[in-house]
Amino acid sequence: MAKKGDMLYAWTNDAEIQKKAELGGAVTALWKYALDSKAVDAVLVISKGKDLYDAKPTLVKDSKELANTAGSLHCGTLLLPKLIKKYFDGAADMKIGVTVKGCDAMAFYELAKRKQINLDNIVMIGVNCGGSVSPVVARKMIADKYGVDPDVVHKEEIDKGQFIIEYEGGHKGISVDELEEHGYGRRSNCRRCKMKVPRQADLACGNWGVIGPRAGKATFVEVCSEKGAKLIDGAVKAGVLATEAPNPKGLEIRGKVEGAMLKLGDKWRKKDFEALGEGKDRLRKIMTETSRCIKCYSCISACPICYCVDCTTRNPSYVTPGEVPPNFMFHLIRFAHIASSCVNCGQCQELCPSEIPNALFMHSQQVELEKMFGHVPGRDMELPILAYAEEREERARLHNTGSDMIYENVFNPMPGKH
Amino acid sequence: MDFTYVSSTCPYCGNGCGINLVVKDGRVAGISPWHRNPINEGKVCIRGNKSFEFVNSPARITTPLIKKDGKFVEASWEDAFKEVADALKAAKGDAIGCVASARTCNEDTFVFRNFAANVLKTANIDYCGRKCNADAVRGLTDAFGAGTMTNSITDLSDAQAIFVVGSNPLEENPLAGRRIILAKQRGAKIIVADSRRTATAKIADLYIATNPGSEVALVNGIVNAIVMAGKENKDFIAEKTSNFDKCKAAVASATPEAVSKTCGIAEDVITKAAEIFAAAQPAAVVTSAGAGSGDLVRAVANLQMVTGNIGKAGAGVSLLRGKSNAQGAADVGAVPGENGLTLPAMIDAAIAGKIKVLYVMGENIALAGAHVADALGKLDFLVVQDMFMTETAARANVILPSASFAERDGTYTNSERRVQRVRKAVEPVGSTKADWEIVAGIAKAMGHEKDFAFKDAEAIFNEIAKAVPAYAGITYAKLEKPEAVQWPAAGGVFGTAVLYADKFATKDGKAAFAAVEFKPDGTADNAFPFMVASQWPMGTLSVNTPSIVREWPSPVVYINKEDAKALKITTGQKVRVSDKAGSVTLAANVTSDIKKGVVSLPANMAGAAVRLEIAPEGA
Repeated sequence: MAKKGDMLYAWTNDAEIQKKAELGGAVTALWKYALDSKAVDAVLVISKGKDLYDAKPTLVKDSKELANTAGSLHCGTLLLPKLIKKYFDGAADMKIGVTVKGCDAMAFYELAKRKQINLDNIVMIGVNCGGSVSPVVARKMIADKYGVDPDVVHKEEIDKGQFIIEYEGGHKGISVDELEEHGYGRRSNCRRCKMKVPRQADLACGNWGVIGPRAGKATFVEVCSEKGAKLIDGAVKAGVLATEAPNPKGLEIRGKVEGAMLKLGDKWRKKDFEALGEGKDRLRKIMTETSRCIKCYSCISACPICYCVDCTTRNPSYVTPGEVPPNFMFHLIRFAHIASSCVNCGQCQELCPSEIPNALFMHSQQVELEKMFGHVPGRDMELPILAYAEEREERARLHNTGSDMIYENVFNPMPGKH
Repeated sequence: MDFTYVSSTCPYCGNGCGINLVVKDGRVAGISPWHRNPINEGKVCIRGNKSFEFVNSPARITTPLIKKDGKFVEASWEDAFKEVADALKAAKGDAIGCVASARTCNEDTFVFRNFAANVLKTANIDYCGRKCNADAVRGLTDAFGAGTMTNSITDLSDAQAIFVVGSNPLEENPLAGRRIILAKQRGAKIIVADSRRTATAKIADLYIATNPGSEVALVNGIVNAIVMAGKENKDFIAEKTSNFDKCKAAVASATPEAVSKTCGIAEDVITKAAEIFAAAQPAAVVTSAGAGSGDLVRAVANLQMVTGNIGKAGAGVSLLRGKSNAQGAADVGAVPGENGLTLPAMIDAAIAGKIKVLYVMGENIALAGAHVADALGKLDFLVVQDMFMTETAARANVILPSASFAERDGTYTNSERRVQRVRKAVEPVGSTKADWEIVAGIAKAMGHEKDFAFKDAEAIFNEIAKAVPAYAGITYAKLEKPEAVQWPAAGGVFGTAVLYADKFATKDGKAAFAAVEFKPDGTADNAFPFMVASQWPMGTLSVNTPSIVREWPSPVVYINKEDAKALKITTGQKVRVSDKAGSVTLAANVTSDIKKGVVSLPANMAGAAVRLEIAPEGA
């Protein structure tokens, strides 16, 4: 019987899945079991859209369709939890399995804290993620740095610090460090990311640490919850999954790879945050860059922390409607509401038509707030710094004071008794 | 529950950004980024972000409507087709006018054109872009041979300098604006000429607050300054162009002194702009189509010939378009046939009683002013195809309800000649039909079923590829890749990104300089002391998109702070804006982001110089 904390090598016994899946097909097999056993009603995974570079969320209800969704796409820069909130009623009355990267897992927790997603109805299989590459950047990178027509590439992967492509007539790898020095490679938020093994998921899977005869033919699985343990046991019992204890040396290697990735994350944080300067310089930089904003609201649409039905940025007393660029208050509102919970998913930056490094600004504030208050967003269900009060109760309390004096209301918890 | 993403093209401006329609249980539930699209890489502006809202609007017209005793009555398609067919049969071909659209698909326009030519036997077909786009397109044809943007939106970011004149990309074509931002981040110098300090002007390295309407003088001044400094690209001029002398002679009078007076700017700004532009290679010009933009386009074409900035990435003349298919509409033939009337001529002819029936597809021409509204009132019969009850539709005898872009297949051709797919994501609302199906339905009712029996949009596109030389070799299969195809298709796997790398499309293969005289179009005087700049008005899609209406609930007049102070006008106050032709009452928006002595009006209201007064109470 599997239990929380277990480490396993896992692979599938299912002949169909074996044909298509990578690393022994454990993740696909687990989803097959989850669907067939009705542990979930549907699985939301990323599949190939128009080509290898086009990642598309796909809802799978029949396990027969799973084989078409197998394999990883490093050009998939999507964030799934916000889609679950927007289009699946936050999984209110539907059990959904989701394959998640670190940023997805963190976003799930933050939305759940805000009661926007019912985590009881979500099963998460986490996959190790060293970072993802925006599709158009990837194509340009392959043409410029690899000298290969991106349309003949049939597989890409990130392994041992290299971005590797396979194409008609060969394969080629270039170190991610070198690519990033030349302005290619992973998204800037991915470079700073330190959630490489998503242990908030029910299972954390990957290829790090799979050595020996199983190398490339099995997935390393860390069991992170009771839900995850049940899924493993069920899949083994159903005969679609086989497991064995990992090679102890592999365990060590997995730890080392993760350690190296975290170190790299620290290196990029130092580099990026130092370049922002401090104090007034940093503020000036942020004000200058955000002054290009054209108010498309994409950052808000995509942000996993934003959930308000009526966003304060649309309150005319703060931000004048129709004024482009909006005044700095637009961004201050976002910073005030989001920064303490920012999970550095990068969506606000990746989708910004004005090329404002929004995620960098938000993330830089989050790490400062973490230093001050010790709150780590996205890791567990601990409430955010700004959410210790129940909003409705707090509003009622303020209303009942009969006063609009903010200072008095906020600093005198017993109104009328000062 | 069903949940799918359907990749499509944004229905708003001529950038042609890619979007994913999120379809949930047969309904468009939202828009999601399509990162893979090469134009916008998943990024969108507010319009793209909210472009699903109008699809689901309760204001959509869902059944055909026939006007009886001044009131619209719901009708079956059969009855509506018969009503229209009878009216069209009763009129002579040359008494019928057809108005095509810059925001319907190529397939619709092509079928409409064939219908006009072969069934109605009229040469009177035109599209709404006549007043603005056609003039600009003509300018490009004269200079280089093809009436289209020379380069690609994406290669703008390779420019070393970008001169933006007559355009405000950051607000109007934001994902082209993004390319300017990228160029600046890579070290390019940005020059913006505009009487309004727009979002685009705010990122400029050199902002030129030129008077509205003086842009041609400014460009001539810059060309002259480059020639005077001996910085012209002599090899390029000698090898690749003709008529340089004509241009040189025409700009000779555009001295810094003269231009500074005309434009209301300092003399050294002109020489500074010339220095920046001449020193950069490659350098690009960004402009847009607008009333009278032909001369401006000719002038900037001269600038690009003088500096040798044509035929390579990061250079050229980028003509940005307001509507999703402004390029395509002209490509596939929504232009007058032999001796056919242009749209303004059709309006005049309607007033004169010569045009008796007008068939309008997907355009709200009544917005263009009282003159057009009068003309519509004089018609015997008006047919309008639209999604919404526009000011034009309200005047119709029969309204034929169109399916939205999310409810049908088709193609749009964006400003950079990229033919992209529009994909059916959901079933049409109510009994609405794709515009081409409606036209085919009328054709059938008029006894021409055989020629209009298209199986689907793809079958029509295949006909377009046969009939329109620029589209030869393009198929729906080739449009499956997100890069799609930029015409002409022969240039490479994805067509031609940059035109004129070898030679020009003119008869002699050379680019033709033009002598562009600056013609002042009515200056301000004591009676009408304010010059008028224009901003984009709200179109049919925008006014039916709540998130956009929330930002811009009603048209406003932008007034300079000092001018407003002198007139005691404050923001929000109702102001009567009058020119020689008449007046309009609008709310004031007082700002320091517009030049003193200039006001800005929505383009459909902008004319010559105006006078401002505080409107009386209750106005």
